[in-house]
Amino acid sequence: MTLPKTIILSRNTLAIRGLVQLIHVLQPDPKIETYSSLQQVPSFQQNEEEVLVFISQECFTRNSYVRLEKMYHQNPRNCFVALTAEQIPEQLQVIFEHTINPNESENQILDQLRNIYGIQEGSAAKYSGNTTLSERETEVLRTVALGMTNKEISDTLYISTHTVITHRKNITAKLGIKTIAGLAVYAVLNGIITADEMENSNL
Amino acid sequence: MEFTIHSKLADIIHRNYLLLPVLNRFDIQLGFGDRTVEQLCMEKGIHTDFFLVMINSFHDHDYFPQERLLSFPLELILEYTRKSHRFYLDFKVPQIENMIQQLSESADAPLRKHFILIEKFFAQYKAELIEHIQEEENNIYPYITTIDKAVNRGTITPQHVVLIEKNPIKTYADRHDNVEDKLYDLKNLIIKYLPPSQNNTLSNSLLVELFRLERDLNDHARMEDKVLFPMVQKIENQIRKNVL
Ligand SMILES: [Fe+2]
Ligand SMILES: [Fe+2]
Repeated sequence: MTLPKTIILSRNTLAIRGLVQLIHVLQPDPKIETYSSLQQVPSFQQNEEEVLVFISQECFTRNSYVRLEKMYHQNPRNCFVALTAEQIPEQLQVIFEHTINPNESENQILDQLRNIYGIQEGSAAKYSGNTTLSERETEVLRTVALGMTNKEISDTLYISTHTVITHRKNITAKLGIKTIAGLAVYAVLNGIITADEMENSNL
Repeated sequence: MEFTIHSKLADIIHRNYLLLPVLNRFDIQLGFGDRTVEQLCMEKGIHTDFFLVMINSFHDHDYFPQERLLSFPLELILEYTRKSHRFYLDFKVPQIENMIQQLSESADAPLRKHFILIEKFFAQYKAELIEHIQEEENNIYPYITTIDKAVNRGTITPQHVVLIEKNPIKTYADRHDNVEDKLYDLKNLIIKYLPPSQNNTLSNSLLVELFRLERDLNDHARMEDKVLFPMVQKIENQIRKNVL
């Protein structure tokens, strides 16, 4: 299997070199681009292959929130990984699917990378293009399609808002549908909600 | 760069017919005979360099000479993006709307229910696009023209400074998007999830139009993000410097 394209964004040359080396352990000739500032990263296109984006904590400055969010929205199928030993700022939590703590041991980081790239033995590959939703995801989709907020969904399904966000990300990635209105149409087409329910959800 | 001043317009269109709407934005209509880019631009008083960069960058998305684009007069860029707005609203959106409606009408009862959803969904998209364009044409573009004129004519006043401090282009640029999330969804709904329609030919044409609109909007947003807004930022800086 080939790894998806990888982008590493960090001002720390050593961190970049280190991560690149570890990724090489997973696969001999990975496609990696490295950047030292957010401005240099070329914009992503919707129809492009998904990209794995590693972003180091020094890029989490207040001024960069909007830019990072924008980058994330360019193609939600992209997977963002935070390289940090600290808590991710709240505004950015939606964006990141994984966190790697650079202070961990080499083996631990390698394990995480295998997990992120979906090449753990036994586990289904993350990049297999699977479009069937799990039961839980279908439940979340139903609530989203009814127009509920993350907080409301969290209260209804007894899961944390963080989990809601992760489910939503996965749903969007699996279905290729990003907007709430689009998800609602999908839900009606597949009998997850009725057309009447959609009408009454004032979306 | 694929096309040069010596390329014939007819050859350009043979090579890539998607460029036709781009030519229209320069008021070029079909029937160009054997004229080359250079000849036609001369005749019509079109900025040849700008024209070439625009068709080449639309033709090949990787060709995007940002420095060069930034050196063109701002009015040319504005005129181009304005004409693109008109193309979307006056032509492309109604065309797609029509196609969806036709599909809906030709479907039998169970399928029609589904098409009604798609019709509504597209109506929401249309509203979003209109809102985006209206904000640009009613607020952003007039602001740009005002400060551009002030700098060009050397008539900068303290009001201009207030204007750029109150609402610098960066505020808009940061939340500016290419208005195509819903378009992306619509494509997938049609490709993957809508039950097969009896009218295959029309469904295919609809998809093709959606892809075209998407491509055009991406190109358009790139012009605004990477050329127009940076130009405006430069003008704002000039005004700031001028006053200090
Ligand atoms: Fe625009
Ligand atoms: Fe725009």
